[in-house]
Amino acid sequence: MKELCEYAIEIAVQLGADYSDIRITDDRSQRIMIIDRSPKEVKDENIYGFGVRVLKNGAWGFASSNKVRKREIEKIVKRAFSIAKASSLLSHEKGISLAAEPVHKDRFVTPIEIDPFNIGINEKVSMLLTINEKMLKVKSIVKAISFFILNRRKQFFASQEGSFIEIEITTVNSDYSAVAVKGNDSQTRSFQAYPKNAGWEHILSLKLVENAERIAQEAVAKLSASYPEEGKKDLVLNPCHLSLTIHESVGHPTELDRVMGYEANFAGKSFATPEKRGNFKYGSKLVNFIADNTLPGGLATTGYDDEGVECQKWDVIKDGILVDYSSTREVAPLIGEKRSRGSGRADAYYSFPINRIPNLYLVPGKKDVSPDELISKVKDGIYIEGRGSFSIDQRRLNFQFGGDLFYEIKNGKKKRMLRDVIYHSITPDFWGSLDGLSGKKYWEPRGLFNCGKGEPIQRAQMTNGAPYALFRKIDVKRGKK
Amino acid sequence: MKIDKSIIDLLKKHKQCDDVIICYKEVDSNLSRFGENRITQNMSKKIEEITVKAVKEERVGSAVTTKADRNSLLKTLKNAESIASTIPKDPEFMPPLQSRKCKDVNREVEATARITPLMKAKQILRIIERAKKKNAIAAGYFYNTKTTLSILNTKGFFCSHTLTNADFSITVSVGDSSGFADASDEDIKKIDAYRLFRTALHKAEIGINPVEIKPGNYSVLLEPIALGRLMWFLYFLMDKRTSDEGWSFFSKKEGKKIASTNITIFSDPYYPENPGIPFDFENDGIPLKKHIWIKNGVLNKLWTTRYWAKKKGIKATGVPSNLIMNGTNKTNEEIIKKVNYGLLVTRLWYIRFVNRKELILTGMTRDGLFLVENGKISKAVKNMRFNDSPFTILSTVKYLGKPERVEGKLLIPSIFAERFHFASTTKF
Repeated sequence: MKELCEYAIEIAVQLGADYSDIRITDDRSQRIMIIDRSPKEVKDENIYGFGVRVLKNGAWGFASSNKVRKREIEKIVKRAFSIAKASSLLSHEKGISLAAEPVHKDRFVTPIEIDPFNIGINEKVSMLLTINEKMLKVKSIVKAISFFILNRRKQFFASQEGSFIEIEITTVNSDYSAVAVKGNDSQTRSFQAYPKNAGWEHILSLKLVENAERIAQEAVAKLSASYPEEGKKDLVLNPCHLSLTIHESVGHPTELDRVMGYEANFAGKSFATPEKRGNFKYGSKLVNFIADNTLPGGLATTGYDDEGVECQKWDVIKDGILVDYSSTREVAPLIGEKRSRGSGRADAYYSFPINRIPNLYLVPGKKDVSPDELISKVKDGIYIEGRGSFSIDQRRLNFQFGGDLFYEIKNGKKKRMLRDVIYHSITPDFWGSLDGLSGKKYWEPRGLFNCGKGEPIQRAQMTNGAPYALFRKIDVKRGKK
Repeated sequence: MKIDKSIIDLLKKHKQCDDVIICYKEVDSNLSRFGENRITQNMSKKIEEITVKAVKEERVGSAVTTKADRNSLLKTLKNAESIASTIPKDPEFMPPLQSRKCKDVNREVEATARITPLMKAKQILRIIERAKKKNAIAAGYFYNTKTTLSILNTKGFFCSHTLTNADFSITVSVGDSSGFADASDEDIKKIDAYRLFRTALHKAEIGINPVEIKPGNYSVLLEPIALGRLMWFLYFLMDKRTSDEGWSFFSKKEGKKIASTNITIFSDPYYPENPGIPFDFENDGIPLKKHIWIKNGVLNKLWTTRYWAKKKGIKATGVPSNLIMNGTNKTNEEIIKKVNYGLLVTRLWYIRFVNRKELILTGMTRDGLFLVENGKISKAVKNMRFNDSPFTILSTVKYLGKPERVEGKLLIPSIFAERFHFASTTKF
């Protein structure tokens, strides 16, 4: 592979490229989905190919192919170069200049204990069938859906600057849901396990089978739960739920390409514009967000990004103030940064790397506060567990979230189950109302497996961790007519 | 790789399972993206994906490869066979479709396939120059693809469809305001990028200095691009199985009135103004034909896959490849003249379920929200969040406009509806 990579760079140099890189990517994926008692999909995928980026006179050219051989590499490098050259001749603008990155010669492999691809397919199918059977046995459950997605990316990256990086990333993911129906009513409850860059040991640690019956019972219980009173309520949010709120209201607004207008046509812009850096009050003093692509098990912990930039750890919000962004080599210099934050990711060999959310987490409280202690501080509120409805405006201000399980809180105690709760806020108001955090012991590294961005949409994965958190006086509504 | 019956002969010779199904997808595409008045990506890509499904004693194992050569195909077959031999029988198993003729639709336009990244770059840069002259900022993409989808199996079934597509999408920003326009077609000649630029620019220019209005119920004129985002939810929710199982909005509603009598929605891959793929690529290649889903406001039919159709003793429709809603010849301007008070919604964004069973959705307006008073657009309005069902709109339709192609698969008109609920407002 190294020889093929070097050949690509050699051709690009001969042609006169100012910069070039190649990624040879071998994605293996095993997908198993069981619906009720039917193995709907049992599939082994191998997506293999290469993509070449060329920069000439400040303009990009990119081309890719599924035929990984010398002659094809030469053809594709020439195509990428001709696109870059032609684009640069047409443009009167100052071109792209990339942030500097040291030369790396390295290999990064996700540490795993049990290789998920060495576990027999029959064992995996059998586990999911057992889960579904346990859920379907619960009265009023009409549908059980469960899945495994196991991915392994082997990638070789080489750049004209001299880097040669080999990575091998293993990701495991599983989840399941039960649908309960009674009369004309229906409710769904999901286990909401979390994906991780790890081996099969992570799947075993989730206790998937052990929780199946409880999940189904909770789906049924939701049918007879009460609707919430509408109005201002205090909210205690669990890490699984809060990870999605973080993703949408902090992760996306601090992607620098979005901030600079690159995604204005679809994913949108951001309210967190560069003049706010270092002075904008994003939230209360308890709000500290750290981006960390070196986090063990993190979904964006890949050693290097798809531009060959080493994974890093940095502050994004410190003591409530916006201090930094995620970035790529192209956009980092636009705000005067000398180095990219290593957030350039592509979802396959045929995709161009774009600015993605890193592993980003809310720092837990300094004291060892438990979730029950947070609840004890609430007179009139709601405890929300898991993810449900989620939507946010294109500048990431007005958002509305649901959840998967809700309990009323009265006078410091968790009371009856509620259903169809939604809450609405404006991002800085919401984070400004943060009034309590649980301790490190209760912090969880939840993750997003299918974050969509770009045109056409590219998928990306990242961990968004959180402790339990208490927010004051948030606007609560019923998700019902 | 050439996909024809010789592939099946090869698989027949080497297979150790009962049957083999091949799903083949080849996409040749060129994409140019732009933002902040400059080209940000200019690329050419080719994807070739072969899915091999091995069928053995009511079990199906699948393996996918992008290595399009004989040896890799046979290796992929072995992998699929190995999966099929280890999993339990599928109680919902359906055997591969038998040999039959597939009537194709001609959707291949050579001129579209031939557009090069350079040709697109020239057009984008000319538009950027115009944007600069207007002190505006343009962002968007120009995308052209040629796609081939084929399904074949060892029972002799063979369906293949090739289509070209050109898609130009643009957001123009003027100060803090923005406007959007988008069009796609098999034929590049039908895409007028300058007209789209002018449309987006006009929306941005009249959207400057928006006022905040109170959330609540409003009459709305939804342009096709805005309505298209809501119709997507109908598109994938009109599944008879989830309806029969009781967890769908459509449960127990077949034969009942669910929309205004002026609403008829159907699918037809052979519809000249909006053709679709003539078979269901995701479901064994079921041949698709015309089906009326909502007729004069009454829920006429829901789509079915083969297993559920067999269980219910009906014919499988497959999942439709397009959706068409009836309209009129009225322009938006003509409809606006009839409106005393209401909101003109040009685009919706980030739509998600609030309540799946009641089909309550939430989402935001973007890139142009306007107040219409006494037959005229009176002012720009700050964006708002809706919490409501598409059937609130479809049940209170007063005027329908001229249908337009949006979202690649939909042919739908503008709609003026008497009620839609907005729950909150945002800062811009």
